[in-house]
Amino acid sequence: MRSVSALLLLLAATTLPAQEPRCQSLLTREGLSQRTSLPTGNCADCHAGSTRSARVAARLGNLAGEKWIRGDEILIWLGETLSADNTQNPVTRDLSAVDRHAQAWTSLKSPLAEQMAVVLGKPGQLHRDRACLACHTSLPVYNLTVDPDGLISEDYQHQPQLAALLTAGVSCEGCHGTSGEAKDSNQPRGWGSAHFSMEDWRFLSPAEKCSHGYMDVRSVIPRTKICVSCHVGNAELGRVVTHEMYAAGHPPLPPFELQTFEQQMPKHWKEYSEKPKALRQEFETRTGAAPAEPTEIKARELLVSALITWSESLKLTADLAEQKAPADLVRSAWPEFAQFDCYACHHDLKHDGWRQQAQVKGRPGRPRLVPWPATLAELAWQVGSTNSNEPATPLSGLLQVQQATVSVPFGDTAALITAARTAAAAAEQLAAQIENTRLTPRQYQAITASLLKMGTAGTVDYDSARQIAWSWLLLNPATAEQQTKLFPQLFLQLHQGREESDPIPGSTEKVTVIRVDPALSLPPIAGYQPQTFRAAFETIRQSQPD
Amino acid sequence: MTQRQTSLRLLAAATAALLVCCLTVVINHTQAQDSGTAPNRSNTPPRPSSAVPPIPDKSASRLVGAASCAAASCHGGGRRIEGLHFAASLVWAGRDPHASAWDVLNTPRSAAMVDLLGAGQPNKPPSAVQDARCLNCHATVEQPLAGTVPVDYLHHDGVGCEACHGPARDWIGPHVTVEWKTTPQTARAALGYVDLAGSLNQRARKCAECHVGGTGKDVSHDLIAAGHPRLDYEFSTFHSNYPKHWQPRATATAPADPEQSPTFTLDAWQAGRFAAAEACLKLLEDRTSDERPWPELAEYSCFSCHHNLEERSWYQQRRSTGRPGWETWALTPLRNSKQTEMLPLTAALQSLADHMNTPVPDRTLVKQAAVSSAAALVPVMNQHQLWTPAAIDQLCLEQIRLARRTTTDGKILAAGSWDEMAQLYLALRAASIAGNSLAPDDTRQQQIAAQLEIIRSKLLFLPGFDSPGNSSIDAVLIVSDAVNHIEQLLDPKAPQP
Repeated sequence: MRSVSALLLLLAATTLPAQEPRCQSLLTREGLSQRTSLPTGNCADCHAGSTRSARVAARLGNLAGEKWIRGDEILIWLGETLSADNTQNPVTRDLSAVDRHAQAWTSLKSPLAEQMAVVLGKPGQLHRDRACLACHTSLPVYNLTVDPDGLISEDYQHQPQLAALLTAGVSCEGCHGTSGEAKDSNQPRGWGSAHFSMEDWRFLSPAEKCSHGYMDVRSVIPRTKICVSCHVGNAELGRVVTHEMYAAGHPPLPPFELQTFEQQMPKHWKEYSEKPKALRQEFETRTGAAPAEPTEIKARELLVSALITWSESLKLTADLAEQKAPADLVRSAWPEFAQFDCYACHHDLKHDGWRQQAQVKGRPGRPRLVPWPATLAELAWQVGSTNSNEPATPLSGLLQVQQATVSVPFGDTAALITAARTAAAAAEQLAAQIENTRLTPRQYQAITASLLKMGTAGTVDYDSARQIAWSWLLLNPATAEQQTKLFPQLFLQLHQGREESDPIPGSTEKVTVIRVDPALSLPPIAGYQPQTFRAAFETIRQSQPD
Repeated sequence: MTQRQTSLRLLAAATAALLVCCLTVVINHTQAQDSGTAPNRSNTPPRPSSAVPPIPDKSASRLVGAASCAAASCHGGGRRIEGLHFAASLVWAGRDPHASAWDVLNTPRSAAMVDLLGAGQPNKPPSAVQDARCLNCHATVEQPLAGTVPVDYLHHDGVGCEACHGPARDWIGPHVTVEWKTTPQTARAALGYVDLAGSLNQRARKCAECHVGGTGKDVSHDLIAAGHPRLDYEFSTFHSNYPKHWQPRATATAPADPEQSPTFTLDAWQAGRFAAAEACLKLLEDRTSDERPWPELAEYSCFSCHHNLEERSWYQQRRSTGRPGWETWALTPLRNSKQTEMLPLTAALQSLADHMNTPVPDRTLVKQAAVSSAAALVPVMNQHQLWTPAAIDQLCLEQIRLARRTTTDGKILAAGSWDEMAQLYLALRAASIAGNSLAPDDTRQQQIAAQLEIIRSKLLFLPGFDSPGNSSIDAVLIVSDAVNHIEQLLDPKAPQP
């Protein structure tokens, strides 16, 4: 029996592509500063739905259109469709289909941003504040010079290159990597030109592409890290939503689940399985890769991204506790309240409310860290350790982190830093293991069983409930209708919200956008009852075949 | 037998019978207490029967228990016609919430609190009735206790006579003599007697010992999170609501009871805010010691954190920094006063506030600042204010003007927090009642009372809530409007905010 499983493991190891170092060095201050940033206008030459020049047409050959690349990525990004004669002027724009990342910069000019700016003492100036720009644009903002007030010069509006880079919001380079040439001429050429000129670009390994500055968004670990660097935070890059910002009015960051959030984006990519068969066969022959089935990918990415999300959130906590965030970018003093469970404090006090018994026993009144990242990490841990014959253990390091957090109000700082970093390392290690192994049928069952157990037992907070519900929906998309009835308040609906008018950069006109409406998103938090969630999940459990 | 002998025999028999009856009653009562079948004063389930606890060694204790005061010929009602205090024990036992103070330790909520506080901790007390943290306020103790306390029958009194009037062993005898009336207070105090009749300051201090806190008497954030109600003591209000077991005296020989003063509510308010501040500063000093959790979250503004997140809540509009400010209910009526005699205190409190408003306050510096503030309080406490109508109006205007806050978009709010608004309301209410007593034909008083009623209705928590339950600015603006009205009534020349 043992030899069979060893053989299977060996088989699995050889049939899956060996994962290269995951472009770790790119998602750092130094990594992002190595190359010059190029505006999205450069990408639009090929990726905005038409091939104007013969040169471009010749290069794309049989790769464009419905072949290897879509060619209309930027149109999808902006929610635009071309006219029938395929000219450059977009004729229709679907507000609900605009990728919210494209609106990221203009959010800094929204009414909510104006209100925040007044409370923060810099009326009308958030669009110049690097603490905001760090997440709301794709530039490495720490390289921008500031005036004595700590704001970037107002002049940027008169510098077309810089203005274009800033006002594009979170654009291509934000996720795919800085694409221009390196400042050090000994470095390989930038991927902006490399991916266009090199014939065999698509056959390069992720590590080779990284050397050109191209971030690996096809592999789940680097992709998760890129997303959570803003959606959870990254101290080194200055991407931190502090409690001071929340108090000024910043909407609470929703609990991030990679694939759930991806599904809310208009899809500007093709899954590997959606590409033409001939091209896939060519790719597999040339690189020796054998990517897994979509259902397997879905489950595996759920677990791996959960562990990485938790790991990054712990690293952020540890960095802030150690005061490692650059002081000129991140205005934060420890204890940084934003690292703790928002709703441990922010709830009306009720007689015999449900929160009373949901406290850490023996340490009432002590807030815990933001709880939702640990929820799915726990799921991943349970599933990841299913194959071993040892009894299941609780999520490694979670107990130490929790104890360090509540032994003293707002945490025993030294113990918390150590516990957080240890747990983060263990989570990342398990993530790497799961990414490289095929899930067994027993593990699939464990995912279902664990989700059902989490949903029906214990007292789960609002954000964790969303994580559990979204995971269930992800793996059982056929139950969407059932879920709509059971958990109407838990759904992520980023495409809905209120209409607002944003200024168009470089113009006096305004554009209508839809953005999240706090009047819709905040009340469900206040009204949330764990027993309602439990009862709803019990209904799901009972409708499962035994 | 002669008739005399028969009478004597009858008398002897009757006395014997009476003695037997008394003994039987005493024995039955003791057994009833032990077996838990004593009549319940509250709706709590009877204490489960257990073995008779060992009789504690009371040789060092000066406590005699509430029953010792309760004889019919003493304070049990037999001499009721001579004054209400002769029925004090009956009033206390029947109507005073203090009498149920120990009983609440037997409720499910108390049991849940002990569990939440103690789970997984070493030395967890078996129940609330043996937990010193509870007994120090909820029972009559001579010195603050610590840790797990052995069961003691005297705790059943709850907050009994001696909790306020002082341990009685050494004065229970002397206080019924004629000489007692001429015994000076210092001699009485040496015997353990606490003078509550003549000194309002002393009375307010005595209440504040538990209702604000002190050594061993700390309703900390841990306790509140476990389920303890928040302490918000205001002496004038508490006193007026208290079921009194005494009659205010105005005799020819003894000094007049302060309650006889027509401006009593304001005298009480004044004494109360100083006594509460004194206790609060002492409590803060205690809390800085190394074994206590720090920062102590109960020192900060409760509702700055404890509110649901709402769009454009008024917390944002009053320039929130995202940090809860240091704010204790007890110190709110005293801060920022600009009166000359209060300036040293104001400065000391500001220094303390500066320390407490840092992310992790330094324990040592806070302790020093608390001690300095308490010292600055002493000269102010002993002043006596004469409440003329003009002085009352001045007080109201000063309190209104000190509490005002401006929002980010230029709105003027009556106060910066629920605590500040509630304390302002209570001060204005006390002043209004006192003013009524001095100038009953002043028609402004009805108008002021109407505005106060509006404020009160907006300050009330929604049913089922222990917090304001509403972060919208609308309620705050209504309160601010009412306060502005009151200011106009008191000072028609005041500029409209």
